[in-house]
Amino acid sequence: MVMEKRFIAAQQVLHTNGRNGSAGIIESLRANGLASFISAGFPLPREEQWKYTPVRKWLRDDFQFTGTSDPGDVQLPELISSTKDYTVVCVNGVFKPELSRLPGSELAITVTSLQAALHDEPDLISGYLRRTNPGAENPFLSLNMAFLSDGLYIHILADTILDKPLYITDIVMGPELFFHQPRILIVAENRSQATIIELRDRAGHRGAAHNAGIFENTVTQIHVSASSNIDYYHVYDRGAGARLVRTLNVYQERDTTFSTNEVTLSGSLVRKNLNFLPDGEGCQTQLNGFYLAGSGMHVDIHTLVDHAEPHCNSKELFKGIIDNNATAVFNGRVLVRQDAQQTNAYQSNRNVLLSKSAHMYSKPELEIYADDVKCSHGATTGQLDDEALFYLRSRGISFPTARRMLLEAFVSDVCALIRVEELRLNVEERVSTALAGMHIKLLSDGR
Amino acid sequence: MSNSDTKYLRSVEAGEYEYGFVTDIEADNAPPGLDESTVRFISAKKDEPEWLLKWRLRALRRWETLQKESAYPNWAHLTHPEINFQDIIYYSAPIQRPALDSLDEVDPQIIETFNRLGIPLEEQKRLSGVAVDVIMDSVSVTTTFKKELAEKGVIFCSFSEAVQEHPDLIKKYLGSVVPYTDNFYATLNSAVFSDGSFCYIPPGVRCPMELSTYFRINEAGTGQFERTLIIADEGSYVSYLEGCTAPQRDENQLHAAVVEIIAMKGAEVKYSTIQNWYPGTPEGKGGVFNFVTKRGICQGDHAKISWTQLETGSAITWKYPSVILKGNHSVGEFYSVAFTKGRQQADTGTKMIHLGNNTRSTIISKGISGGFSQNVYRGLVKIAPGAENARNFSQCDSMLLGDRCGAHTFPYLEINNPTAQVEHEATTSKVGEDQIFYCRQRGISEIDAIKLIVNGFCRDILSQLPMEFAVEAQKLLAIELESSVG
Repeated sequence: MVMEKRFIAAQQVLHTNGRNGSAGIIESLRANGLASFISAGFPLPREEQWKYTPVRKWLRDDFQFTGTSDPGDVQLPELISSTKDYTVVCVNGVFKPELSRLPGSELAITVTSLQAALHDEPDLISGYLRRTNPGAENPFLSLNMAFLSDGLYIHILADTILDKPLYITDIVMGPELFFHQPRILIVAENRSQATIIELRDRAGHRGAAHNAGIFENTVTQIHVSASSNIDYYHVYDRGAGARLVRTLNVYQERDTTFSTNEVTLSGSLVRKNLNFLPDGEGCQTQLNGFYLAGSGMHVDIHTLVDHAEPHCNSKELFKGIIDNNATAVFNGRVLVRQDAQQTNAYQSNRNVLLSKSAHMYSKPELEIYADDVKCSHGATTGQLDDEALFYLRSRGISFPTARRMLLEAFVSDVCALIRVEELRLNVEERVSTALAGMHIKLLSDGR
Repeated sequence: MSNSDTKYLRSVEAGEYEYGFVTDIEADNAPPGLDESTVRFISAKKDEPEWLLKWRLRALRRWETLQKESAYPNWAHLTHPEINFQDIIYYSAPIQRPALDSLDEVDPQIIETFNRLGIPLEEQKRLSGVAVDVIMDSVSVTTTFKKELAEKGVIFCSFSEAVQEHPDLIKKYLGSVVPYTDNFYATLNSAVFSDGSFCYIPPGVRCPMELSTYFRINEAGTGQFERTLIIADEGSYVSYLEGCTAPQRDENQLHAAVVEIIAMKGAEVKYSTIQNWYPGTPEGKGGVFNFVTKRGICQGDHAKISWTQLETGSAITWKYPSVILKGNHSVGEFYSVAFTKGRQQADTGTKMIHLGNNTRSTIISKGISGGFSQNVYRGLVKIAPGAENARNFSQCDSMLLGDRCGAHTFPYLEINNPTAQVEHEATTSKVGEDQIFYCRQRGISEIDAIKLIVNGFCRDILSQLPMEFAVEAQKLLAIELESSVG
């Protein structure tokens, strides 16, 4: 409990002073979060969900919980400054309209700070914030709630079709050991349609290499109302040393389509809890993603698709490349409840290990209580195909190039699922850079 | 699925246990409960050497600590009432006349029991050429074909006999694969195991016949704690069969067996099981609680261990026959069919632990669930950092026969070497309507169609069973599906 005590004390210092005025609802949310965090504590290695990720190892630092209040000169990620699409920029989790490029008033979409939204519609917003998918509870979610102060709220009104993708980026500016806990809430009303990209990359304060010590505990909640279609992407590339625990809770009403593509490129710890609850008939859920676990990285992807209603489809594809001293964990759980007849659920996890000191722990789970379903999963782990390498080498391609080509090809099908071309090209570039940075030891001698 | 189909499946799910009857044989019981005196009682009954008693007591102490900490394995997808370990009778032996030279001297009631099970001992002896080490309530009653096996140097006897006659082997290998600290139930077994089978195949010997043991739980409220040890020395081969049925009883019977297999260089052990213990009433009352630890080790290069199981009985099955692939080029196999109906719960699978280079493992698991049953495949494939070129293929298919049952797959794949190639696939579906339709079109009745489809679904596994066993397995599966339909 020593570790937890520091967080609890910090929470008290930060938030007890502000207990006055209209902040009643935030206070009660925080109190709830704190109470469940105190009762749960940080996960222990013996907990099944954290079996391969001894998360306490990354929590030992003496964290600080407040960012720089006056960020001054902010350096936007290249993709954000170059794109012609909509952008929403946050600094330390707080929405900055002056840095953002929002859709005009002809589109019925509201982008605002969570604090403002809570002030305007306290019951509605706090209702959303309190909602957790069953089985998706975890101490980090509670911790995030305990520290709730502000965040981003995007409200897409009924029948709105966003004509261009919307990029969300969060720039972190703070002390070296900054424990950052942003929160994003997206509500898409009936029959709306949008493409949303959440980009967490290494850009920040000019000249400062401060990402190395940060620990982000992010929560993104997406509520997809009936007949809506949300295309969502998450790109994580904060740089070496950065730590992330991410919770994504997606709630789908009937006849909705939701897809996500989760790109993980750097960081010392990346743990994702991706939870999907298609809670109405006719839902389509797609989860794709890949992780490049470079030297020393620890990537842990936990997904849960909870099929509670009939006639839904889910499809999941995750691929990974794991380098020296890196560990990757994939735990994909598909739950088909008793009434979820006519469910089709597919899941696939494929991995390439590049080194003897690379570790892969894959655990694809099917838990099925309905009989009229088609469910399957597959998981493979291996190394690059010798014959493919030989083929390329026999055509005069050097070994490192051949290897890189094959690795790029390995993840290219997941990249190809990114429907925003600008983003896809950007991700592909990041992949090339990351792969070039992997100083892979030759697998067998003599090559 | 049509109405009649559903009706048929319902009746299958409700199928009653065919072999429920109790043989009334006087038994020499230990008082219920477990403490040091129980262990000493069992050990004294067996006239065991001091070191074995000490080993049992060490296990008992460990178990008492575990129980104090409530360290029951509770990770499995199972729900059952708490077991009161002090209510269990840990030792019960059928009273019998001493010295048995022929079958005539065996208690006629025991013979009768087997006759009613459809396994006449004489038939077994005369026709099938299978040596049967009959276990009834923890004590070996009779052993057949011993002489013929002795000529080859094969030792096949009850565990207690082996303790007396081959103490060196027991001392060397007991607990070497499943140490007494392994898990809660293995620890319990180590403290109180009553009897079991022992088998040793000398170097280079191909065991001339299939070795078979019939297990049977008889005395009410008696826990069965069998201990089996199989040692296949260099270059030897043995096929070992284990099959069982149990009488219908109301109280839950606890069964916590341990099986250890050691395969030396170039040896091959094929272990086949049919498990058809009393599954409880359709309402979930009674039934056997089966918590088993089975593990083999491929000690030397080119060794092979193969597990084949057909699980149809028990209220609760908790069983993970595993292979430690230590020798280079060693092979591990696991073939399993688990059929659950009524309120049965099965959490079963395997562990393949690759330590040596060029080791290979194959896992084929088929789960069929009906009624309100829960059927889980849980498996581990672990590739150690030093295991070069390890290869694993796993396939886990589930079939659902009703809309109130569950079929689950929880594979753990832990890969720590880049040269490994590990593949896992799993599918879940119901009996295809189109498949039934196809059969119906060709004049096959719905019942036969379902049998055909289920049999086809399990074919890969059943074909792994030795001949006589395969026939029995197919019959059993048909009975399970058919039972009350007639």
